[in-house]
Amino acid sequence: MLAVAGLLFLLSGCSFNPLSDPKTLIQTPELPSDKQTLSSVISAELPEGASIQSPKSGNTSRIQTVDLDGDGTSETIVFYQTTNGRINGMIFEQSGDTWVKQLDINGAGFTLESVEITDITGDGRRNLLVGYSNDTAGSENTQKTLVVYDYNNGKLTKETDIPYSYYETIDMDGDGINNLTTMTMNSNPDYVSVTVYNYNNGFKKLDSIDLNNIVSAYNVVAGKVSPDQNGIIMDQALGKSGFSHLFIMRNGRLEDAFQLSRQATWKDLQIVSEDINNDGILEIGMLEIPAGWENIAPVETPMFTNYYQWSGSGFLEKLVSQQYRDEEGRFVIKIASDWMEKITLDTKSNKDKDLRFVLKDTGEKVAEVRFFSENEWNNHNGDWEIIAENRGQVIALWENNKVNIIQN
Amino acid sequence: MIKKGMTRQIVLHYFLVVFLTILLVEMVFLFAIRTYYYDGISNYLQSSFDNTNAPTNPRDLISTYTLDKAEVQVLDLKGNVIQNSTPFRLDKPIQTGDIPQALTGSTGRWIGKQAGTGEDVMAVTRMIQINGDKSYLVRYVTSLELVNQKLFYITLVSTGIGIIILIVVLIVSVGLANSIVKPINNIINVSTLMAKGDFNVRIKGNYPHEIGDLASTLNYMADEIVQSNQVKDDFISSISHELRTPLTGIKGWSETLVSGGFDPEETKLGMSIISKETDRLIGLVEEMLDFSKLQQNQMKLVMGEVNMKELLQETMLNVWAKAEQKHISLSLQPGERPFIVYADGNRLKQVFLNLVDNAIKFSPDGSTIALMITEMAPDKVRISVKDPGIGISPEFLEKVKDRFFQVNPNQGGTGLGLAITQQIVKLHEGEMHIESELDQGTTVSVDLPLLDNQQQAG
Repeated sequence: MLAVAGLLFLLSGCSFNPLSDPKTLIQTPELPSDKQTLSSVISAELPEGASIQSPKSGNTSRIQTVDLDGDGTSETIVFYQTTNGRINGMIFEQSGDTWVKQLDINGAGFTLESVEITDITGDGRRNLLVGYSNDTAGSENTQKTLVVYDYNNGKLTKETDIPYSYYETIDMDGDGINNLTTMTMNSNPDYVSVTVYNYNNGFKKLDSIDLNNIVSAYNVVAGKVSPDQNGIIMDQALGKSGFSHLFIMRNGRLEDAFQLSRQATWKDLQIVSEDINNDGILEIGMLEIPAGWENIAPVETPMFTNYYQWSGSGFLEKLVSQQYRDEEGRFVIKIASDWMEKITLDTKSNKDKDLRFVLKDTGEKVAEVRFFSENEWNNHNGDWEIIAENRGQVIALWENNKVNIIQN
Repeated sequence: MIKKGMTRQIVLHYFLVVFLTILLVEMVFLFAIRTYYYDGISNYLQSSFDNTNAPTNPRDLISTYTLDKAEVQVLDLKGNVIQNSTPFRLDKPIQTGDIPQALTGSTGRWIGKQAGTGEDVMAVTRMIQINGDKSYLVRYVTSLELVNQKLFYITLVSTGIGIIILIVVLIVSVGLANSIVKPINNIINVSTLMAKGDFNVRIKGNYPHEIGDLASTLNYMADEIVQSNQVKDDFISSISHELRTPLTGIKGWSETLVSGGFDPEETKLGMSIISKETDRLIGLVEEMLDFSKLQQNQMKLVMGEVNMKELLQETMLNVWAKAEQKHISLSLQPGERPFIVYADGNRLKQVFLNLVDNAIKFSPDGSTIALMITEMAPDKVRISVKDPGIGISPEFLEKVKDRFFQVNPNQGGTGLGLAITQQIVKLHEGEMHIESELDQGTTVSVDLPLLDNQQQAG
């Protein structure tokens, strides 16, 4: 006791307060020695006042280490902003345990939009694709410039620079080599021009289409759109609603797969197209009014979100996933594939209280999502499984175990 | 260094006890401090999860959960790092213990060494669901170097304080040990002197508790030794005197008779005086022999049934002449029934002769000495000898039974009488009590066990 008292007395008397708040002792862990070396080399080479930049989109790592020229040793690419706001870059070559600056990259703007490292020319060497812009306000539709560099034998060659709003590097023409596809928004008049390039001693335009009345896109994604077709999906915003374009190349021609995309892909909410079921093929989301709710005010209607894959036609026909997605992002109910299209919601359901999933043909209740207050939850009975908890509210799911309409 | 001995032992005991106490307290203290810091950090990181609302876009996870100083990582459910707050990409999936914990839905915490750097780190991970659909792991990593440094510092300080406390305790315990050992050493010195025969030294100083008791007991013992020496010296001088008086008479008369020329009457007188003085000498020597036998437990009792009334009557007859000289009358109250005691009759008679003789010796002329036989209990009889004599003052009352003790050493006698009486009574499993008041008289009571009633009847 005496010892403890003495300890505490002496400790509290020290000018250096040892019982400081633990959180002030939080410290970033050290980097491994090789990365420390790299860091210090970069800092040494960095012009005074400059700060290393993270790309606004894509891979946001500030320092990327890859084998750019395919010579078996790694290169490190760094972009930084100088004191006058310009974006410049540096390439370092690994040399034993340390790094040596190989060259400077003179950038073309004030904002680093993206840095992508991929082979776009088909020569086996990876290219450096850097998006620059002069935007400082962070708006989506600013005019950007994509510069494609080729790095070989310690030299950086600028292959091209193309204005763009969005770009994708995916094999569009099916020759096994990535194509550069740019989507460029234009205003007055509003239209977007989509252009596919391939590389043959310089970037050559393969094909191009213009789409009218496009103001902005809320999502652009590229990848497989059917098992043997690559494509780019651009989700276009119109107010709070949206519709989707699917750009594919067929027979050497670039086309929008949905001739009447506004009708074919219209949704009242902006649903992001993505590979929702992780099968490697992109899906386009649509909203479905549950059967029986057609005459009820749309704001009250709990909507199903249906994800379709493109089946080659001008319409979305191949439903791969039916989901009920809570508008506030609290939970997602996925309908098992055997039961898709066979389920609706009882019209007594309320989006924020109680959702009763019933069979379309018999009206039998097969699942229910209910919102419990904490008090109700403590006194609940029945076989409920918590699917979300938030601020004293418990959202729980009941499921008819004989039917199992919910995908786990 | 403290020399071997009690001081060192006491100091060592103190040291050991305090050292163990401090050690245990410090261990508990340091463990608590470590837990406080580690839990403090992990709670702070956890609270960041609790206080942050998940973003709607997984891209924003890093910026949403960014925390001053701690490294933030966003992982997919397999442990691959998708984003992190360092400028570098992490290529290897993370497989530390916090990941499986986080995958169960709780908050994972892991403390260990960072791969690559070996730094001590803490990772706190939680699964974050975006829009109720896809889940990611958000992982905070913080170095524990600062904390461990602080813990090391606290350990140093507390160890230092522990050592200071130990030193203080050692100093204090030396003082404490000395407060015990110094008096003991003093007592040892004094008792060594006493052992060498110097009984005039005394332990000085007012010591508390047991040591004080020990000191006063030793002092008392020395007093007693001095006093008993005095008694012995007195005895020797008085016994010499006792022996010399008859010898002077014998020598005087024998020389006178040797010179011759006396008529037979005179010769007879001289011879009878010589004989009487010789008897006195024999009596003295026998008394001393008896006493030494008693002292060495060599006295043999010839046991038999003794009627107390008869014994007392005989005693009275034996001292009749002496009593007559002082015109003292003796009275006997023999009790209602005969009291038979299993005893050595001669020795018992010696007891009562001695007691009555003493009573006559210290009683004024013309007084009465009362002998009483009373039944104490069914199996006990009390014989009291009551005289109206000079009495004994209370300070001597306890000592009159001691050998060689005499209230007035100049009055003659050996001072052995009562001591022998007492021993004989004891041999008979009896008790002797003396009640006395100065100038009022003395009553000596001897309690003896009665022969069993049934045995008596048989």
